[in-house]
Amino acid sequence: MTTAYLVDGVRTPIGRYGGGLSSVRPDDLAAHALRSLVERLPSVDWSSVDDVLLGCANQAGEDNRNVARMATLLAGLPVEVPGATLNRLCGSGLDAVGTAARAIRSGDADLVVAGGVESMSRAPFVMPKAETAFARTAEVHDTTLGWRFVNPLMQSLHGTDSMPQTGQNVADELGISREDQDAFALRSQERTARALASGRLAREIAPVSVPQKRGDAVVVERDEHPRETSLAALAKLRPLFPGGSVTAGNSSGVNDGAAALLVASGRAVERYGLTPLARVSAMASTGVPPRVMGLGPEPATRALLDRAGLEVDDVDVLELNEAFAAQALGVLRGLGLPDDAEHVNPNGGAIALGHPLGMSGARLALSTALELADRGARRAVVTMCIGVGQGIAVLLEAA
Amino acid sequence: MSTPGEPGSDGDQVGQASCPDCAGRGERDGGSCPTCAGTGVVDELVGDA
Repeated sequence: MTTAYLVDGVRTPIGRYGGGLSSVRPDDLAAHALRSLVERLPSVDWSSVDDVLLGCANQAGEDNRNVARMATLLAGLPVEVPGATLNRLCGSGLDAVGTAARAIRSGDADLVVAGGVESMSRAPFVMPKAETAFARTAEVHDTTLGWRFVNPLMQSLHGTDSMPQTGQNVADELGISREDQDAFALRSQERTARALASGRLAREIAPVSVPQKRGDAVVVERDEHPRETSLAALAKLRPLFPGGSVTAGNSSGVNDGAAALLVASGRAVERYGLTPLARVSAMASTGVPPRVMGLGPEPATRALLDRAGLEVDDVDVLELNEAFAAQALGVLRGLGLPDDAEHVNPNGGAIALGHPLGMSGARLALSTALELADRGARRAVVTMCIGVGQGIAVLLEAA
Repeated sequence: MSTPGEPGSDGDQVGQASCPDCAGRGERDGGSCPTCAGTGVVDELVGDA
């Protein structure tokens, strides 16, 4: 079987909801990431790309009708380069990376661009058609996040808890305290602040020039979501649910961003003189009850490690998407890891940085590959929880 | 705690976060923070899909 290498990647800064990237269409945002990847790797023959796989969780607005293909063309890649959009909700970008690696390991491809995009600011309202002629009622759904057009059978079978409610369900069922959630959230902010200050996160970023109605374009070059806070400030925040412990302060944000990574075969690495960051060795996905979807990363990680003949202790870097501090802590404790493990999310996570749904997994894969290379470590796992009850995990190994 | 069959609601997805401009202190540049009107908190959408 051929080895799949994660060669390099790039991402936009993560914009705050309604922030600096909110005027940029998602297809343009993804095209920017693709163009920036092309610029970073000038030795590659980009007309030879076998596929462009982008994760995207919404696809109800300007990201409709295969945003991967649209972005590929908008980026100026040749029309012969194909593209497909993957949707595993929050896990979409990571699924794109894992699927690209599978294509390469199977021998079906040599060069695949994998990434993701989400503009949650620009997620549209959508309306179903009227069920009857001359109907005088209309439904409108906000597609920014969460359930819409709910199937009544789904409702009766599994419930349709909001995402924060699933975080609260995990906190309640596992007895995860507000104090522990806030401490986790503060660590995310502090680690992100360190990574921002050191320039570590800037290595991942291709600044975006955003045209303005008047005057010069504004260049967005830093992640907008992180904020200075404290345990005292976090403790003041009102819980989302009466008697609950999940707050906006210990949850991920609603954000905009795009990422693009190059996954290549050994043959392509040699042909174009590339220096890969990591190997993409395996991927696993699992299902869990939707009402505790945040626990999905535990079985996904265990399935991944079982398949690779590894134990949790064999993992040098673990990147666990921080949908909610409650679910992250539930997963860590389930895996037998301490709440403040140094090798888990060493540069912070989505509580601080934000979570543009379809982009996040690709960002995590890139950031983890950089961390693996920087540390000279052997193995890393990237894992995410997914709405409607799934987990996904990808194994990266030293190149 | 919810049970299967109990719907979520949009209200579940907006919560208080520390004000990004005054770090939750409620004060900025020697006065009340204009972003959060001195409360130290702002309403924010909560993420995940």
